[in-house]
Amino acid sequence: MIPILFLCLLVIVAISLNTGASRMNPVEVVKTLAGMGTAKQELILFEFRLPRVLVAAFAGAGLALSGCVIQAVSRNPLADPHLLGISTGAGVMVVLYLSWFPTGSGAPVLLLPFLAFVGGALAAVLVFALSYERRQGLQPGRLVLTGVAVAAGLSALMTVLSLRLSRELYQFVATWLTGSIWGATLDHAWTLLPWVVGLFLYVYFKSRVLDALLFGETIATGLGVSVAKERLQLLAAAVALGAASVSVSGGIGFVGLIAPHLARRLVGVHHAHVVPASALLGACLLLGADTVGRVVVQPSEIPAGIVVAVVGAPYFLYVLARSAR
Amino acid sequence: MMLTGKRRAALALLLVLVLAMVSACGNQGDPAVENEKAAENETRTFSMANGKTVEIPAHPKRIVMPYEYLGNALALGVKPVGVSQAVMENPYIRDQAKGIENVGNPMSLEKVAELNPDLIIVYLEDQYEQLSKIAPTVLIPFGHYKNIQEEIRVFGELFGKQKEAEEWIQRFEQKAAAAREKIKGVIGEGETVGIYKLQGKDFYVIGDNFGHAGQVIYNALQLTPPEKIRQEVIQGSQWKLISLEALPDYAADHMFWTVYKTDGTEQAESELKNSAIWKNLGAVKDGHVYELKIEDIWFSDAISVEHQLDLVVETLLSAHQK
Repeated sequence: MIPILFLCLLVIVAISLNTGASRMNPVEVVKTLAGMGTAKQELILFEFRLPRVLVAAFAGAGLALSGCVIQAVSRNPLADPHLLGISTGAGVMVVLYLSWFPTGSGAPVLLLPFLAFVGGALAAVLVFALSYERRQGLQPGRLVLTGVAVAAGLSALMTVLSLRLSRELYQFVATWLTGSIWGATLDHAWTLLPWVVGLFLYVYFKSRVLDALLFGETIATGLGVSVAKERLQLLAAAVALGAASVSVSGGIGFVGLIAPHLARRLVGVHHAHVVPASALLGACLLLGADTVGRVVVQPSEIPAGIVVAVVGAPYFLYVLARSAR
Repeated sequence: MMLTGKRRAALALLLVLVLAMVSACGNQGDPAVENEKAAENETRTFSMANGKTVEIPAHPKRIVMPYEYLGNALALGVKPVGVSQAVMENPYIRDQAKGIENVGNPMSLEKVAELNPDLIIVYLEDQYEQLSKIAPTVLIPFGHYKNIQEEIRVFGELFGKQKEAEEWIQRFEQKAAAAREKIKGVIGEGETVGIYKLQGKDFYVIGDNFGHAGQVIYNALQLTPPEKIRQEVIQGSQWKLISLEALPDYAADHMFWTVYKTDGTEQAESELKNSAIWKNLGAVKDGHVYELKIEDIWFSDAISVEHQLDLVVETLLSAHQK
């Protein structure tokens, strides 16, 4: 199954590279990739299309992995990176920054991903701290409730802050919060790469621990897992993955929720399979959504986050309906 | 950042394999049209609002810019090749804008590149870096320049049309002086004028440099805002969201009023107009509330401001003939 998913991803990458407002046929795309294109073709492919493809794939994989870990650790199949307040925290930071340094004042936009990462991580740390019990460690049940509460508080704060923003900035923030890949550059892609690859390896390496945690605390302990420590470390990895992805893609929802779900349906419950399958599905999902969003209403674009939600919401309801039975 | 040779080769190798499958049906495409080098390769240094400088062609020929600024280019006799998508159409430049390519909002990088521009203008910094790779890109934030005269002067400098910009300013100021004469009896000495907008369900007070005919009312006609609007809006962020209860504090003797319809606006408007607060406003009692259509006053470029000057004068005169 995993090789098939990998092939799927490659096909979507190829389609995405061939999609765009400027007409380039596949032959020209191949030629340009081989270094034989015109200057303009190189510009379009290497500076505009390729960064988006890479960033969408990495961010999708990151969000999916983050969701996969959070679902296993919290033993809640409906959990996702938003649950830890990551995207709301990142959003607050972005709005805070924009209301302090309105565009044009010389403050670099390049700082945004970094700030979003810090905001997302801070919110997650807050959620952790509030759901931490000294003797038992992190409490998954409390984590869910605290996450919802913190996210609600932060989004209220964000609303208050965004009242001060100008019309154009507000629009920018709104697009950012929905999640969109159009600001992507190769620098973003290379920054994201080590996080996603490194943490993927870590999570993959821990797949047996994830399997054990699914059985619950008692059995996991019986299986020789030091539950409190592993939970904390895995969740920290999930936060890093989620925050890094959100920092370049904005608050894209559903990917972290759906991809692990779909992965479990396709490859079963063992995390040795679920982890790579989630990553690949997440990449496929976000890259596919971004590609669709680029073509539907040319020359404008639909943010990838909205495309994902259009596909994701019905699937989510379908899952709910099935699990209710 | 361009890819280094090694990276590019590695990427190419990987992708060529995949693309081979997809490209089975690829037909021969037309060769990309190379950007014709302008006869004059002179450049000029332009300093932007954020303090940075950028090298721009002395006489740009193919410009891509925000639709919101389109009237500034047209007023100077410059027709861009591409404009971004705006929230609404500008009624004053509908005919002149024909034939200009729509590049979307946010601008589609590929579409812009296809137009082979030699100058790009943006009002937000978010796409600045990427657009710069296509052509010299200039950042002009909304409302950065104090008034329309200063703004058109900057556009004149950008396009190498300084003379046309000065001519426009002169004509505008003459027209403004004539307009001030016309409305002399209508708005009395010491009477205040404000601009108010209902957008969605929210009620806003608008300043002098945020579209909505602010440049006409406070700059061209030199009318006086209420002190509270001067301090909190004109010297602030140019717009302020207020609650209905606070309206009397911001009310003026003459109120220009506009409605931007979205969900729930109609109900909000009827609630507002039936409220005791609204009915007790001096301007309402005296019949000094002038409604303007949002599309007529939304834009703040040179052509729009000129037309809005006529519109505001006509509106005032016809309201006071009765």
